[in-house]
Amino acid sequence: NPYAGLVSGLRAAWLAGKTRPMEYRVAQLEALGRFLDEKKQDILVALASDMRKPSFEVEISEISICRSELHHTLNNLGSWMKDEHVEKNLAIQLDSAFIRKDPYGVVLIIAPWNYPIHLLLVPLIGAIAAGNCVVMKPSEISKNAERLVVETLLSYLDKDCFAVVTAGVEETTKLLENKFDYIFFTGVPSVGRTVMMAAGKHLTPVTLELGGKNPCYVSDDCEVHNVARRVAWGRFFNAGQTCVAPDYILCSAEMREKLLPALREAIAEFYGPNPKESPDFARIVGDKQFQRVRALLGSGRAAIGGQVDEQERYIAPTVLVDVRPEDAVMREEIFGPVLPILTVAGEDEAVAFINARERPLALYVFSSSQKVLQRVLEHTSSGGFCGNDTVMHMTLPVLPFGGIGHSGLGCYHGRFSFDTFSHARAALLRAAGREALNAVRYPPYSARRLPLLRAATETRRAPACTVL
Amino acid sequence: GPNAYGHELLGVLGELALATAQLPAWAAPRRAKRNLLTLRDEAFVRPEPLGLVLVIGAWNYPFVLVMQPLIGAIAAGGCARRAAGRAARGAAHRAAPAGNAVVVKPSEVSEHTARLLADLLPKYLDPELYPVVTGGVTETTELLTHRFDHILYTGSTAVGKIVMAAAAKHLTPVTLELGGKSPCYIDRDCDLAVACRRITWGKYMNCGQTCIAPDYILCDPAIQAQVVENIKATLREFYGDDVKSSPDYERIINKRHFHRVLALLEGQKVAHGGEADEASCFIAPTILTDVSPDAKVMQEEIFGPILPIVPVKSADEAIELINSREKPLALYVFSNNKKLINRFISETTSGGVTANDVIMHFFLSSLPFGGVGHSGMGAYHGQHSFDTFSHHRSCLIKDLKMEGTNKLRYPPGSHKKVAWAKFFLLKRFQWGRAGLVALVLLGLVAAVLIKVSLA
Repeated sequence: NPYAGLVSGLRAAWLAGKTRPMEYRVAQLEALGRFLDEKKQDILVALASDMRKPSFEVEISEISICRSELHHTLNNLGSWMKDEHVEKNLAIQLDSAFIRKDPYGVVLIIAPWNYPIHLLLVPLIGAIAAGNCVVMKPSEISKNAERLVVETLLSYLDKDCFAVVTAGVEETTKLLENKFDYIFFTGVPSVGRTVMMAAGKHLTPVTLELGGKNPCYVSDDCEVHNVARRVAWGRFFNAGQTCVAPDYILCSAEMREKLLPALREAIAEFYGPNPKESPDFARIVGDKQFQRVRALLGSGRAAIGGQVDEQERYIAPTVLVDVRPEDAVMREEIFGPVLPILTVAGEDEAVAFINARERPLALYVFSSSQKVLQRVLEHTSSGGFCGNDTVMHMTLPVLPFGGIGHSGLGCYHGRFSFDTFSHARAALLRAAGREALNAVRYPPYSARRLPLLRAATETRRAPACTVL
Repeated sequence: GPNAYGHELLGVLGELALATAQLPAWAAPRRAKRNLLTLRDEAFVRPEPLGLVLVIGAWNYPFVLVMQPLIGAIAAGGCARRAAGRAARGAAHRAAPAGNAVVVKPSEVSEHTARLLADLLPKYLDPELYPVVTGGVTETTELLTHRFDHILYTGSTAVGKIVMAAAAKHLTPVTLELGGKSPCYIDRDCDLAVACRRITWGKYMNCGQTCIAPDYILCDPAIQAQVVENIKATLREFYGDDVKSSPDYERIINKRHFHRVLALLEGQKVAHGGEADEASCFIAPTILTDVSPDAKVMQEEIFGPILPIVPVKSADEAIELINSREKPLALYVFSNNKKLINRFISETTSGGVTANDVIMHFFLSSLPFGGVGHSGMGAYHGQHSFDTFSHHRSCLIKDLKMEGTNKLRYPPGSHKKVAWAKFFLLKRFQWGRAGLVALVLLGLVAAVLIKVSLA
């Protein structure tokens, strides 16, 4: 196996305990911070080359958000690393009971191409914070970002404990044959399955950040201009290549008529009369992806946009109407600047539509009524939920970010990243004394002793009535 | 007998009491801190049921290893809506589940308990929501082709891999409670009599068929003989002079395991025990001495009443040996030296640890119970069960008005905007002290206003 040497080298470093001390972890994390500061220009250029990502977008969605996670982690690492003492029962009152956070060892992080710095660095921050050695596998599709990671990012880290593998599909399959102690994968569900199958052979735990079609229900009781802006922003950011972008809209025919002009206005506000000329609108990352998204334009009809330029891999911010649930655009995650609007009679139909499909990574509801928001929230299931906005729920490091069902397994961000890459190890430290108390549990067993054993160890049900 | 009650039922009753007492607290949405950009918003994590859960039990503690996960799966997610029962078996992951539905698959090896569960559970729980499926390998393999929203499996490492492979096809999260060889290090500086009594209890209970039994001992050759003597003395205390006739000593579960365990004695120095009787699947409590790490008995989880002692010259050697092997489910260290205990914990890893005793970390429900590496993934017990069988859904609810600060993030972009956006995103607001000050000021203002109005 071409990577066996690499992995065993890292495992040796792991067994030597290099990555465990807090000072070491802090040093590596601070080095990442320096990378973000010193190489900002390089990051902007790489991402502009890969998908014409606007520098404003790079600043907030690739650099700033990583810095946020980094600072949050550095500020809290001390307390996260501490042993977590737990509630004890009567029998062990005088003992010490706590949860120790053990690093897993050598972990593998596979990152996708749409936010190639963010989706590599944020898991990396968690893995380093938790004390692991890391093999990074950036996406080969975002070539310039990949090169940046290999040639520049790695030079900031301790090469004994951190490695980068550049690999296509075949080589990644070979990489996955090795034993890792944790695998963190961001990408599509079909590859997620492959990763989990490979992990299963070694009983390696995984976190899978996948995707799906994120529904966006717009209720009739809405001020349409803010809705249009927030939805358009979430949909067309990074030319739609965002796992938490609103994938399609569900609304009444009435609301649709109000939304269309509002969306037109928002798009013009954002990108000017010709988005192709706007420096703030990205391109599709590659030819294959471009062809795939372009084919989806055949569903329904384009009420807004629809123009393409194959040379530039440009697809205009597009809104499709008259789309049927069986159409191509409704059968796969769009991952492009195309927003279908499907009409439903009301909230119940919207909820039924959503529940008939795979559980999405994100679910969006726009309504000025808290009741409507609450109801849809309670009757559906999704990775995360945002009311009256799109995408924003994943920018808070205090909220766990992850999917459910086909949209993913596990979660991260902030403390959840640290927990993801740590094994929560139960520890009970007893003393040699007080052996007489243990006598209750030893043979020869006697039914007489049971009440005492129960009293010492059993939790009692709290009485139902309470005095106010 | 009383051991079944002590080992199986006591734990279950405790979990039940805990779950019913704590459920409202566990199921309540958990509020989260916000940043300046999201100050006016509601941010919380909502525990929700996963949908359809599969619990596969093991044969060694057939009751508790089905019941404890079942309790967690039922408790998980919202409690008020569980009664609605919309989560019928096939439709569970299509409709938003009102609560988890659970398919219970007890081990066919412990056939009497399996039959008991199949008979009794439907009398107390809705069989539409909590069906019991019995059967062997064929039926379990068929069951695993179906799509579940979580699978909790207790059993061997080998079958754990099969379960995870099946789960991977559906991207189903799993909790695997597996096994391995749990090492037990005895330091020269410890109360040897007490240590050996506790080890004897943990090793030979259920005839050694306990996933967290101390599998083998590591100690200095100088104390090996004394360890043997102490264990022998304790065995007499526990089971009398004729172990076979003690009502408190169990048997090996079946002939297959009987032969498997007995074969491990091949070529070993038997310091005590070794007697066996196939007819009743009886194997006497056995101690082996001067065992080599390469011996057959040191290659697989013993899961029987055989206790090998592997001599090591130092704690360093012990730690090296432990780290050269698969990560165990439990690690045990006996010592009066706190520093040494901490060293063992810090320089190794394992599912869990108990120092100066064995098994006991299992019984504290505030501690997560699970393995790592080949000994498993995920954990349960107490609130950890609830969390295992819940989806923690992040929710952010914003105001539909208040577009002002949003404009910062919209195109067209500009450098000034970037600076402001970064400021709002990076800062986090602490209500604590500021809130207190605000409250005091408010109180003062109120007092003044009241005084003025009364005057």
